[in-house]
Amino acid sequence: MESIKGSLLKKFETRSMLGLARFKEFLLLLLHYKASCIGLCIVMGIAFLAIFAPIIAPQHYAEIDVPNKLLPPSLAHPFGTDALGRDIFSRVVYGAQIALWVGLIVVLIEALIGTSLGIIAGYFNGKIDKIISALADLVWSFPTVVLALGVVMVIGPGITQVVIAIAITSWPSFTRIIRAKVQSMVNREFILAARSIGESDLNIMLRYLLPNIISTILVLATLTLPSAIISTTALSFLGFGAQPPTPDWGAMLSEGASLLIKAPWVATFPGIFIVITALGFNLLGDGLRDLLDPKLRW
Amino acid sequence: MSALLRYSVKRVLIGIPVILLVSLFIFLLMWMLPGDPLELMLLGERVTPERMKELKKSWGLDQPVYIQYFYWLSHVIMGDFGYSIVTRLPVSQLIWSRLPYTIQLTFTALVLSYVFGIPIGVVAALKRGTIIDNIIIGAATFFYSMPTYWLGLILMLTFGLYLKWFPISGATSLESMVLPLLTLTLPYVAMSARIVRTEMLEVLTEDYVRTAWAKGLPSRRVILRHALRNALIPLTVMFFLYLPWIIGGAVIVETVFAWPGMGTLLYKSILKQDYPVVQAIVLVITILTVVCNILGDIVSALLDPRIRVEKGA
Repeated sequence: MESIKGSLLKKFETRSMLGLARFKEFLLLLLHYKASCIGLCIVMGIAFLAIFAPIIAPQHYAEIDVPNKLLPPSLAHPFGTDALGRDIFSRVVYGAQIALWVGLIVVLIEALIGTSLGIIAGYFNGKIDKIISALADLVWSFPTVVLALGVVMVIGPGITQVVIAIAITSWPSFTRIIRAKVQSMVNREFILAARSIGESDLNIMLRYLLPNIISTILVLATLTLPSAIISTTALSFLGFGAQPPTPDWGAMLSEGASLLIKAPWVATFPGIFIVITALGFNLLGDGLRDLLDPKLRW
Repeated sequence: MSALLRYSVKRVLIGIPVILLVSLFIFLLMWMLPGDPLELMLLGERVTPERMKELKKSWGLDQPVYIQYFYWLSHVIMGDFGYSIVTRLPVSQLIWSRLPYTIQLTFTALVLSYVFGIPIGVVAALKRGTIIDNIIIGAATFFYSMPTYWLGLILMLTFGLYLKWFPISGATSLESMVLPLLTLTLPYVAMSARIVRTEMLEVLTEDYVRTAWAKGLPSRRVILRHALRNALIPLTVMFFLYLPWIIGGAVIVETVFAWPGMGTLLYKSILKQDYPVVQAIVLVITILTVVCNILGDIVSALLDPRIRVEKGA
């Protein structure tokens, strides 16, 4: 197996292949990392649940059936029912949609802010770099949950507010790494060449630097997605994020927290899905990092 | 040493405007809040418009915003954060009564996570690629992926409700600290173990470590004296960056376990819309973050002289 992996890696690294063939080779290579393979399967599984939720879920997530409340897991209700008789399995399945959406949007905003600031800081050294780096360091060490709570206090609870609050506190992980990456490229020949033929700064940043850091952005996005999901569900758990009857995993968990003795399944299943999803993205991200950007440390 | 001193003074001097800027931001955030703070304070009390005007004047609320900000700031510097809308107690008194609990919890958690994380990370690095390493990495990724509130509930369910080993809420005895502490510590054990492992793996390939082996030094000495000492530099710096994070994490853990710290105070104050308390707590945590950042920079300059030259010049 080691030799297959080795030859695949060599082939991949020579970069002689293009387009689809390269992508296929890449997938094959990824499958040879056991952990990331598990990660990929989990992520695809969760995505599958999210996409086909209306088909997979036996009931709608908001369908109330009070006489059948707090039933333990059974064949009719694989994960049991909650305090309003809603089928927990259906809610968990629909919850996958929310978790993935929220995670993707948070990461998208983070990547947008973080990458642009990172490129700017790395490209223009000196004062701009110092200011951006200092800001990134400060925001990076500020506890996300506390700031999100402050924002929610001002603009009110809700999933959109939470997404914004978390995105504006977590972009520095992109900036820090991309800045270092860009700095290592600024004095390479192809950038100097671009400068000497009179390309504008903006053009160099977008057309020369950006394509070279796409893989780094991809790795970072995969690795920050779990923390985005965990932070947003945490706010929902505290009651400031998604509002009922939205089947947010965090909100479901907080409903179950008060029923911990009477009906432990209400809190258990959404929790398991948060952990599995986060684990899946972390494993996949670790594999992607080893493959695409081995020098990147987390 | 003078280069270090100059660098430190510079860092502290940069920190002051940052804190001022953040305080202005927090003040404006609260100032933008819907509703008149005075009306909130006098909730349910009948006040004539004349009396209202008088009160407004005595509180400085008839002044322009920037005057109000300086007025607020001068009080904050003296440690006066105003009064809680809900309990009518001075905010500083509320915070001071809660702060020790939070510090107790977070500081112990951070120390414990290093005490366990460092040896685990070293073992994983030394046994790289073996089953032991895989198990450690797997467990670390697992705990790293786990939201603290769920971990807290699971621990509460198993050790508190089923096994009845530890109390599940409050801060009545030393035992009641076990579960919240465990919840807060486990993810950080995972994180520090991962960092130590990567650092160790890097350091172990360095020339000076190879030289140490070649000299025939006993392996214990090579690992502890030569490798670990250098691998720990990033972790020492991380200590100061983790501190604000762990306080953020404590907000959730304290709420789950009803631990009477600043986190529960923040949570309850937000629920009750107790603006002055929220404002004060966010400000205290921000100042703490800035101070930790400065300390982290200074310590990393202390441990790694290259930074002084690079950044301090």
